[in-house]
Amino acid sequence: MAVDHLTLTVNRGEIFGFLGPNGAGKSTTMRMFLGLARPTSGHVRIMGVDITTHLRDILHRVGALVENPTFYPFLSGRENLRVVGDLTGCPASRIDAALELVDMRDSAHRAFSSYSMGMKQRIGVASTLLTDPDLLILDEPANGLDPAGIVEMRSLMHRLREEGHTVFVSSHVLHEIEQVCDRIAIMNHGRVVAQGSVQELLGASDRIEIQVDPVEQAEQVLRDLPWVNSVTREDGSLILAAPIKRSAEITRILGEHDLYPAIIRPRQESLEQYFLELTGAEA
Amino acid sequence: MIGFLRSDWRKLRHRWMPRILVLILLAIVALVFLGISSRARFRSDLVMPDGLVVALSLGAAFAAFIWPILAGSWSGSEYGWGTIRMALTKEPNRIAFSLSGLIVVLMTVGAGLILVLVVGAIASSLVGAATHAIVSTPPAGANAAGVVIKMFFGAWYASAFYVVLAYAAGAIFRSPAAGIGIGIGFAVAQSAVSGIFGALGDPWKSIALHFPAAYTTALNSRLANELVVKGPLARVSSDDASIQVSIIALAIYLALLIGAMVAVVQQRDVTS
Repeated sequence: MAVDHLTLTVNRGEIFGFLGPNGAGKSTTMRMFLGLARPTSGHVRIMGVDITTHLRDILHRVGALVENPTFYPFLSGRENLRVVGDLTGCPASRIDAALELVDMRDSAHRAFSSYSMGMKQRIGVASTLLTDPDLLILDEPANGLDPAGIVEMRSLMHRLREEGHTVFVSSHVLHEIEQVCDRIAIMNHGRVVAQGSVQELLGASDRIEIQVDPVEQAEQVLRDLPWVNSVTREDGSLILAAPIKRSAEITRILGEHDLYPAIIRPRQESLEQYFLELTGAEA
Repeated sequence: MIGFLRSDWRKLRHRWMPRILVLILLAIVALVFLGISSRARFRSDLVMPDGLVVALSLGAAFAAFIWPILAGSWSGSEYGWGTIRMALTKEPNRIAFSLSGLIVVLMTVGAGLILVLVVGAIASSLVGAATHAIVSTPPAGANAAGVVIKMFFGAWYASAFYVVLAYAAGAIFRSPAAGIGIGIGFAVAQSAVSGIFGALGDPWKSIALHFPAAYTTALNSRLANELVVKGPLARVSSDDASIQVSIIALAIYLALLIGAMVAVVQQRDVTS
């Protein structure tokens, strides 16, 4: 089963990151959101509306770019957007506005096949904006972009959020997701294994590094604390899985046992480390 | 449906393939027409208005090798480029998506046959002028204009079978190569198998009489025979199905192909 009992809560006006290793079911989930794939059982609801019965109504409120931007190679960027306009019934005036927003107005006359990957991505994003959707679904929008393009895409997503759009974005560039998203969900084996704000999720697994002597005695003392999830040794230091805000308390408790740490410092995980731990994927 | 038709029309206007294929068809019709005119005994069939019917017959005869290229590539490329994903996330009506492309390709075939008529008219006039032949007199009771119009729709209908076959194959197998290959391959295989079955005699021969090509040939031969009473085009075999039977048989084949395509496109997840 590609996807099983999936509920994602995306708040209006936020940028929501959707993560998961290859084969986790991300693309299948996004295809199901858009009616490209059908669930074997159950329902898919977006904005409270069942897409099996009201797909067209939902699609008019959703702008989607699934996997690579796919357009007709023999048409120009502008003509491709006109094709999208033909299908959605949006006025031609919005095409210029969308091209302006993604900074593609000067290159819009060129054939789509002649565009760089970054330009294709931008035309793809422009196509999602034509209907002024409430929700934007962007699958790997940073795919194939150079560093400048990634920065541009990041600022574009911020701009979209400022304009009131909700952005649902999947990406493999975890550093980008960490910077740009308000909240994230991580999927593995067809299920959501973590969901929340980036700060919450990373904070929930804070690490504290302590250098203290004798290390064996300190390890014993710290293991008995109810809010310490785990204690491991690493290069002579102790690594505690515990909230960073308890650092002062740790110092006090160790002091009560005549143990005085030489170093006590937070070791907050990056989203990448958190993701790898959670999904069991190899770095 | 209107949105899809509008977008398919936009694609048609910007695509070179239809124009090149129409030019190839016109060149073939003109060359074969002039080739036939080199034989004195056929020349009387090539002057106006019979020449128009001959041109349309040639247009229908080569349809099996020209239009599958456009039809198979039209439907299969949507999967190859992945544009089906883009289209269906804007407008989810899969039946309209499937049929609008087919309608535009069939309209292109109609436009191509109108140009075949123009080329036929020019070629007929040239043959007439070169041989000092006068406009041929239609057989008693035949309305030349009516026959030409019927022949136009007959040629279009016969071409439609190969268009629908290649278009459906492109969509079902999600590949332009499959659409083109099956479209043209079927025409070639059908011709070879018909020949073998015909040589084997009954009951094989009677099976071959129900192949689509048997009906497209019968339809065009019988329609042409209303005007052209001499020469190779005038030959109608007693085995040939009637016009009505040919129309119904081809309609059944068309319905089966379109039904299979729509069922597959409607049910299948879009994974390309």
